[in-house]
Amino acid sequence: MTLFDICQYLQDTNFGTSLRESQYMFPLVETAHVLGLGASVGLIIWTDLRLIGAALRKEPAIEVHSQLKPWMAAGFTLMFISGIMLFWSEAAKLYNSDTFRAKLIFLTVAGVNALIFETRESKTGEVARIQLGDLPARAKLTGWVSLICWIGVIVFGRWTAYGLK
Amino acid sequence: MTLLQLFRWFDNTGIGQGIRGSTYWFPAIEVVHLLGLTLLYGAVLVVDLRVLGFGLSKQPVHRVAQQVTPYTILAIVMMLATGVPLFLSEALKCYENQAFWFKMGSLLLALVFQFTVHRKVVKSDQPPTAGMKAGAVFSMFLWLCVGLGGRAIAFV
Repeated sequence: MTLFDICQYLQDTNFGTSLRESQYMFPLVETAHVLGLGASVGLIIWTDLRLIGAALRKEPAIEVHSQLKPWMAAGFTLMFISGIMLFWSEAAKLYNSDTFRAKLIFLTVAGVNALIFETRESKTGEVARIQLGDLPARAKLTGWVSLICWIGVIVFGRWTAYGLK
Repeated sequence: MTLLQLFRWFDNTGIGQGIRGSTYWFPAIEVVHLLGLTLLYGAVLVVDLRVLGFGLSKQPVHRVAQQVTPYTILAIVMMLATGVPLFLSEALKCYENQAFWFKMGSLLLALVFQFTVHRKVVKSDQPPTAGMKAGAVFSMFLWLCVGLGGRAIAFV
């Protein structure tokens, strides 16, 4: 069984078919996906902007990150669940979409980047030590990679919905 | 000149026709519109959650708002600069689209509220009162209506 077979199977399930063909459910799930995006990426941006030193410079970066985290996580959960549902309903179509593949690559890099940051920070505490202003180059890099990846996820995610190649 | 004639004129502008005639212009502009929305929703959430006592709750409201506001304005400018050409490319469709009018009504209210009442609320250096918190909830509600209305234009 290939990956494509699995995608085709998902798309052909009762759940996938009824979601895809539903007049109201598909738009509603898609709307939830966009609102989840606003809440999750919209808040992740603020940690990133703080890390690169472009905003909230009067606040400690680690405070910004830890205080916004539960809200990011809530938005991310909404985005993730609605995203899985949307994928389920069009899995075979998405398997062949180059823009969707590009989106997944950016999403993976964003995830790995965040994981590296969390792991390193819990070991070194280098960001937590700095109260104001500029952060070490490594932390700035984390912020830039995150910003670029999420822009990539949004751009290729939107273009996937248009069916652009 | 009636409103319909005005919208017909919008629909016939060079920009409108150019975007309509291309496969890529609309998606390219719309994606910048969506990036603007992400930035705007994040900025609105950071400030309004703070007024409600959530998120950046260890920092004073006015200090958070002062640092966030340039990005809120940047996001609004991004959305207007991309929203206008998107509108021009389908002005006649918008004229008959109830979601479009709902969005425009909400947008007008949201902008007026943002730059009058909301601006005053977030300048205060006192702990937020119940009235200020109601203002934050109303602000989030208005921007939510703008987003929902915008998304619905494509569906109704």
